[in-house]
Amino acid sequence: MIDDLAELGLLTFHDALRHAGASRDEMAVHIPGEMVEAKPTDLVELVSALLTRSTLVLTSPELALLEALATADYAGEVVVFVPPTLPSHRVVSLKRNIPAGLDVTFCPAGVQPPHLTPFGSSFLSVGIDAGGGTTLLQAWAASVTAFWRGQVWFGARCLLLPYPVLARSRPPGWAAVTTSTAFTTVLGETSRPLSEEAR
Amino acid sequence: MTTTTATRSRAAAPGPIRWLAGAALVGSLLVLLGGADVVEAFELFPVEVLMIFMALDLFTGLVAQTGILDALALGAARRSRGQHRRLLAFFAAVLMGIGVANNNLTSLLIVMPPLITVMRAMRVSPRTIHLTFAMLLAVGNCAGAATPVGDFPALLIMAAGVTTFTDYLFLAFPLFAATAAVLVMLYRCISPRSDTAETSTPAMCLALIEARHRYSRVDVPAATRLGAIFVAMVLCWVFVPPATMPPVLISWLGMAIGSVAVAGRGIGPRLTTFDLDPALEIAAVAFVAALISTTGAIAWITRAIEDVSTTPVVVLLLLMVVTTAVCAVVDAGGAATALLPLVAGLSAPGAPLDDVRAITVVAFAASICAGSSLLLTSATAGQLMSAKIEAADLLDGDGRAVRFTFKDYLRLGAMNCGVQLLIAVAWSVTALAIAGELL
Repeated sequence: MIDDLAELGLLTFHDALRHAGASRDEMAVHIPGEMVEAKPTDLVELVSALLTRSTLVLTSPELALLEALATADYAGEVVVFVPPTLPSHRVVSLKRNIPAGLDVTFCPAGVQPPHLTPFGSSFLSVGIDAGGGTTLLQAWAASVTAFWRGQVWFGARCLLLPYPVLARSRPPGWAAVTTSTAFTTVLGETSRPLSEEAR
Repeated sequence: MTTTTATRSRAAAPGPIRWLAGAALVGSLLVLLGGADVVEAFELFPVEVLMIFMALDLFTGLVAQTGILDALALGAARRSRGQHRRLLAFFAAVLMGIGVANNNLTSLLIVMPPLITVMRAMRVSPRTIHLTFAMLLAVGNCAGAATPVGDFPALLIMAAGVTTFTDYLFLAFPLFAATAAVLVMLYRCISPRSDTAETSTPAMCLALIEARHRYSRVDVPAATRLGAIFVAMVLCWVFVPPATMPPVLISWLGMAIGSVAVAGRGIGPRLTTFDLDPALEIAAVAFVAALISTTGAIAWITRAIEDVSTTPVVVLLLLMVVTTAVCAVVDAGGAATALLPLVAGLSAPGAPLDDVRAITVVAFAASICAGSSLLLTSATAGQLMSAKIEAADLLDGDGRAVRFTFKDYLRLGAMNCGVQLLIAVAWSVTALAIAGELL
């Protein structure tokens, strides 16, 4: 099931299991238990601030985010970093499962997205507020963020916090990052610029 | 995550090497102790089976790129409502439908990808995977024998001229359809009622597989073109004499035309990523089978059976038992080739089975079918299935790769063979009684 989470992303994975009537215990094996019964914020509204960006770089696959961007008629390019642990058959189904109207490029691990410039582009991660200035990200998204931040990428790094909850547990496959260091902007329950760079 | 990846790496190690090493060992013993002739074995080696397999695997790869197999997988998942027991009947029906006009390799290459997709999503236990594929192997054998244009043995029987198209179809189809139905019911009974690894429930599995294919679209024009080409291939296999155009040539021609027909839609054969493992495993077993055929053991058995009795029912039952045993050791095509002269001889004018030739031929086909289901190595389709499951990266609840080995299939194979042979014997005795030729 960890592959399902990696392929679909947190939002779609959570939504699918919630609608299937999964119990709290079953879901809490893979995602922080505090968000099991939470309802996410309207994603289309959440991503509206990003529609002016020419390129959005998703640090991990997130189907619901692609759906929200398609609904909001996003005209730019979306780049998705594919987790190296995803089996090849899942990479095939990941690449086929794209909402119509979006220009999506999938980038394997260790490969730099083509034509990526800091101007008008933004990295984008979906996480859960863990309190104390930290955020929980899927491990692969945290790795990508850590690699690009400050060494290769000096542009915007945006964090989406779609769930109004505070995570108190960290299931396997998740990593905690310092929010203010890893990101320049947080969009979610308390949307706030973290540095001058975000402007 | 790290543990899972490491387990996958260990499990993926040396599949075909084991088969090739085993074939070399057994082959050496056969040559040194059994008097097998290597040169003759190379002449008997079924190169065309390997070539057909490779062409059809590449063709199936083209079909998979159209998204139609994903759609079939999703349809199966919805229809089964996440219950693997429902999958048994669904895929058995699909396999029976495809298999009556195609060889087992083609049928399984079409049915296995969507089934693997569904089983992977449902995370069923290794036991359930073994049960499902063991059932499919037996049903595939039934489908191949149900019509004169099904699998290679049926084609060989027709080519030998020992029966007519209509006689075979009229007698064989009800027998094999009924056998397949009995097998499906049997497997439904012995399959666990509820089985998903980890803590997944069927509804969760279904929800996740639906989410994973939410935007997958079937490339209808490409799928239509490939479908039309496949129908043309089947018609050529059925109606064009092998001497005019061999089945292997039809396969490669179909694959080539299919590649050109869909090239404009961004679909092409994946030659660089073609998986050679199944081809090497099939080659290893086929070579051993060819070596056994050269030892003279089969010819000795055929002579012995003629000396035992002249009573039709006894002769027919002996023929069936011997055919089943030979087919289990050698492969189905090899057994059919080796024993067809015996069938022709026993049903020749004045021979014990002269008046019941049509029944004899169908009983012979049923025995081949039963023998093919005994061991995983008895039919080419079994080796293909084993290799495909190993390559499919199916994981059990602990993250270990699921395999389908000779040992895994042994008990289920004995059951498959026993059920098929029992039904075939009952049918043959009844048919002989109705024809008034029992004694």
